[in-house]
Amino acid sequence: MYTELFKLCSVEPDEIERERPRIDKAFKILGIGEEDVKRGEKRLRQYLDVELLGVRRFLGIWMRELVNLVLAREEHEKIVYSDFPMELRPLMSMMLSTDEREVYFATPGQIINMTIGQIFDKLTPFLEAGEESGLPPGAAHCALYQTRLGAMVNGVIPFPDLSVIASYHCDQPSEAEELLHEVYGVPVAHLDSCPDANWGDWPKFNDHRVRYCASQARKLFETFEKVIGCQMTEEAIHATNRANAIYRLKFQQLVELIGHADPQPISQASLAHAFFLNSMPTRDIEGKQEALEILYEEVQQRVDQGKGIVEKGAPGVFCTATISVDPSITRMIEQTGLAIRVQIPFWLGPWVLTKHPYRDWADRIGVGPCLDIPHSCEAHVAINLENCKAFNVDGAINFYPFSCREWAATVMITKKAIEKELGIPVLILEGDCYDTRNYSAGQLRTRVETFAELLRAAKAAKAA
Amino acid sequence: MITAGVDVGAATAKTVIVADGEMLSYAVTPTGDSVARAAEGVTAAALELAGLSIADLRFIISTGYGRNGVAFANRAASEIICHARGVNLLIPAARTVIDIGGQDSKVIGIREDGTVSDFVMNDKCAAGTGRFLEVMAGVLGIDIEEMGPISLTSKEPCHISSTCTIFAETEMVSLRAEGRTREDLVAGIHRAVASRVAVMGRTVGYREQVVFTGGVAKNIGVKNSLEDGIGLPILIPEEPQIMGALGAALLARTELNVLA
Repeated sequence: MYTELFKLCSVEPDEIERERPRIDKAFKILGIGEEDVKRGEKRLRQYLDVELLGVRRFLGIWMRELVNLVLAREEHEKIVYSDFPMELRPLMSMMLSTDEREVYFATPGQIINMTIGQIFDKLTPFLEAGEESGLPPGAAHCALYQTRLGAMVNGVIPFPDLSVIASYHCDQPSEAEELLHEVYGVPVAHLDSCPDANWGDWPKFNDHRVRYCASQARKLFETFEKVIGCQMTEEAIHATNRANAIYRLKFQQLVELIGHADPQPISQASLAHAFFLNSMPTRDIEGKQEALEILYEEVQQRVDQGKGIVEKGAPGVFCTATISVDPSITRMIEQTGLAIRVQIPFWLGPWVLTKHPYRDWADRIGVGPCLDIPHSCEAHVAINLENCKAFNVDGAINFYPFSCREWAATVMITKKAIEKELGIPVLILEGDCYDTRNYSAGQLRTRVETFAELLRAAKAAKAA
Repeated sequence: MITAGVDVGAATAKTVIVADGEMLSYAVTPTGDSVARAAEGVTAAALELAGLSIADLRFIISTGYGRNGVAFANRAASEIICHARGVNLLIPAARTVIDIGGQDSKVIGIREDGTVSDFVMNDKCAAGTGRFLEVMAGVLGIDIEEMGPISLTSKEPCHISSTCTIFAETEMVSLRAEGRTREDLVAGIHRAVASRVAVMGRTVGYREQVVFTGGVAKNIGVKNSLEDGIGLPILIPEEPQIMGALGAALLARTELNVLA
C-alpha cells in the first residue's frame, strides 16, 4: 500500500522490500492506513517539488527516521531525544561519540512534524494526547512539545533514556521536559543560557552570558556521559563541526540561489525539508549532504533554464517563521503570485559567518556560538531587516505564531521597523508553526491575496 | 457592458449587476448550507430583477469567504479589494472602511482611486464580528435586528469583555443575574464589538471620511459606539451589505476593459 509513497521519497524498490517488515510494524503502531498513505501521496505531489530528486531524497531521510524512531526501543539499548531549539552540534557531537547500534538519537517532535504533520496531515491525535497529559490547551504550550509528549504517552514512540534540551530561546522546552522528568521519570539535561540582553547590545555578546552557556554545556555533556555511559570524544566534535560546516555552507548557497533567482525556482515548502535537517541528528550524514548537493544542482538547472513556480517578475517577499507543519500555507502564498525570496531563519547573516571571539570556543566544544537568533529581541528585529535588505524584497509577511514565545515577542516591533526603515509593507498573519488547529486557512488566504494585489500594484506603479 | 459581482459571505450571499458603472440590480439571500447553491440563487434573483439572463453577463467576479466555490465566476478577488472599490463608487470621499460581517471584521484604508492603501483583519476569533452579536442576542432571547433600537434607550451601558465571545457570554449571564437592564446589556455588547474593532484598526489609522459596511452596519447601536471609539463621524451606505459585490462587479468591468 505504501510502495508508491516511498518511491516518491526516493526509496528504491529493493530497500522497500528489505525494510517492509519494519515499515509494516511502524505504520501499524502509528495507525497509518491506506487512506493516510493516499493522502500523503496526494499532499506530496500537491505541495512539494517531488519531481526533483533532491527533494525526494530529503523526504526519504525523514521517512526512514520516522520508522527508526517508532522502533527505537526494540532496536537500540539507549535512546536520546532532543528537539528544537536545541542546536545541532552538541547533539551530533554526543551522537558521534556513541555506537550507532547501541544509542539512538532523534528530535522526535521534528520528525513527527515533518512526516505525520507535513505528509500525512494527521497530527491532531498526538496534540490532543499531549494536551491530556500535562500540557493542556489554552495555556499557549508549544505544540512541538505537546506532539512529542502525546506520541510518548500514546505508546507510539518510546520514552527516552535521556532528553537533551535548550532553554535559551524560551521556557517551553524546560517546562515540558520538567514534566517529562517529574511525571515520567525521564532524566533531562539542559543547555541553558540567558537571552536578556540590553537593547543596544546587539551584535555583541555579553561575556557573562557566553561563560554561563559554556558552563551549562559542560554540565550537559557530563550528564550525557553519566546517563548514557560513554565518553565524549574530540574526534566526534571535530567530525561534527566539519559535517555541520559543509552542510550549512551549501544550504546557505542554496538559499541565496533561490532568493536571488527570478522566477522563484522551487517552493520554500520543499526547502523546509532540507532546513530542518539542520537541527535533526540523523546518522545519515552522507545521505543528507548528497541530497543537498543534488538539490543545489537541480535548482541551478532550473535557474539557468528560467523555470519557476511563480511568474517571473512577481513581487518578492520575506517571510518569518511560516507554518512548518502545513506546507499548504507556504504554497498558498506562492500561488497568490508572491515569490518568497527567503524565510527566516534559513539565511545566516554576515555576522554569523564572520569569525567572532566566541567562534573558536564554540568550535572547540561543538556548541553553536549562542547563534544569532537567541541573542535578543533586538537581534530578531535586526536580522529581519537584514534579510529584507539582502534579498531586496517588495514586502514582508510576518507570522505571529500563537504558541511561540520566542517569535511572538517581536512581531509588531519588526513590522514597524521594516515599514519605517525600508518603506515596504508588512503583513502580519496569525498562525502556529506546529498546530494547524490554531488558524483559519481561509482567513489567511483573504489577507495574503489582498496583500499580493497591493504589492503588484505598488510594483507596477514603481516600474511606471 | 454588463458585469456582475457575487459576494458569498459567512451569513449572506449578495449579487450586484452593473452596466457601464451604474448599478442595475442587487439581491441578498442567506448563504445557507451550500456556497454554490447560494451563489446561483442570489445571482438568479439579481438577474430577474434586472430582467436579464446569465448569458448577458460579460464578466463575473466572485468574492467573500466562498469566492472560490462560485463555479460560474470568471475569477475570484479578495473582499478587501472589492469593498474598497464598491465604497469608492458611492462615497468617493471615503478614506477608511470599517467592514463587519458575519464572520470577520476589517479596517481598510483606501486611496482616492478606490485602491487599498492598507488593511487589517481579525484572526479567526469571533469577537468583534457579527457572530458575537448573534451569540449575545441568543443569550438575551431577542432578535438581532432589535438590538440597535433597544440600545438607544440605555442609560448606563454595561462593561463587557471585548476579547472573547465565550468570556463575554459568561459575563452577560452574571450581569443579567445582577439585575442589569436589557437596554444596558445590549449597549454594552455594542461597545464591546466597537472597542475590539476600533483598537484593531489603529494600525491602519482612521481618516475621514469613515464608512461602515457589512451586515452589522445596519445596527445603529454599533455605529454609535464605533463613532465614540474612533472619535470620528461614520457614514453608512444605503445598502451596506452589498459593497463587496458592487466592488467585484466594478472590478469585473475594469478587467474586461483591460482584456479588451
